[in-house]
Amino acid sequence: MPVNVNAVAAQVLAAMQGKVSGLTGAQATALETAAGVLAKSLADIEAYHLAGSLTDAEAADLVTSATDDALSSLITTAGMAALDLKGAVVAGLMTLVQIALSASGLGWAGPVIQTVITAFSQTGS
Amino acid sequence: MMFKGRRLSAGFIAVAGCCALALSGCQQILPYIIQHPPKFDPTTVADLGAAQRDADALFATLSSPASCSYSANTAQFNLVDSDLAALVTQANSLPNNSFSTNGARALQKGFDRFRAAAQAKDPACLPPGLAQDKKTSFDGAAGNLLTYENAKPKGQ
Repeated sequence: MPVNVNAVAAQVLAAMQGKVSGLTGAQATALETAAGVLAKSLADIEAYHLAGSLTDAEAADLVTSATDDALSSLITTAGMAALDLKGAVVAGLMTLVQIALSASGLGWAGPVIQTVITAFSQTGS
Repeated sequence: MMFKGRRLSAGFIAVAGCCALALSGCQQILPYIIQHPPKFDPTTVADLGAAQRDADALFATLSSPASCSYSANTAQFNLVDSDLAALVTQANSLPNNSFSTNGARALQKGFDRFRAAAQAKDPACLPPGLAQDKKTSFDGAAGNLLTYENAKPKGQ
C-alpha cells in the first residue's frame, strides 16, 4: 500500500500540536516541517525496502536515523517554545507507530519507531 | 525593559525545559536555572557550522553515482563524526544547556544510524534519494538547533 505522506504528516502534526501551546508562527512551521520530513523519509525508505533495495536491518537503521533527526528538531523547537517536550514528541511518534501498524506497507516500521520512543522516554530528555 | 523581557523569556524557557525533562530533583535546581539561563555560545555555533558544512559535502558525494559507496567516503564520515562529537561535548560543557545537548545528541545518534546503514550497504550505495532525504532531515535539525542557539541571550 503506498504511503500518503501528506496524510501521515498531517496526523503527526495534529498529534503534536494537541500537546503544545504558545507556538509562534516560525515554531509551528518548524514543527510542521519536521513532521513532513519524517513522513517523507519513512515513505521513501519503505518504497526502497519494498523494491528490495534495502534489507530489513538497513531500513530499520534509516528509520531510526530519520526519527532521531526529527527528535533533534523537536527538542530545539521545544527549547524555544517552552513546550511540554516529552508529551509532544511522544504523541507525534506514537501517532507514527499507529499509522505504521495500520498501513500494510509500514507495519514493520512500528516496532522500530517504538524502540526510539522507549529509549527517548528512558533518557528523561 | 528589554533586558527584563529577555531574562523573563530565558527564565521561562529554562523552567519549561526543566519540567519537560522531568528530572528528579527538578524543584531543587529550578531557582538556580531561572537565575542562570543558557547563554549564547559562539563555540557551539562554530561547531554546528562545521558539522553542517562537512555533512552537506558528504551527502552531496553520496548522491553522486561515481563516488557514493561507504568505503569511498569513510574519511568524510569520520570527519562528520568528529564534528558532532565536538558539538555534543561543547554543548554538554555549558550549564543549564540540556535542550542544546539533547538536540545535538539526537543529531549525532541519527547520523550514526545513517552511517551504519551506508556501511552495511558497502560496496554498493544507498539509493541517492535516501541520501537526499538524510540531507534534508539533517539540515532541518541542524537549522533548528542553530536558530535556538542564536535565540539565546548574548553577553553577560
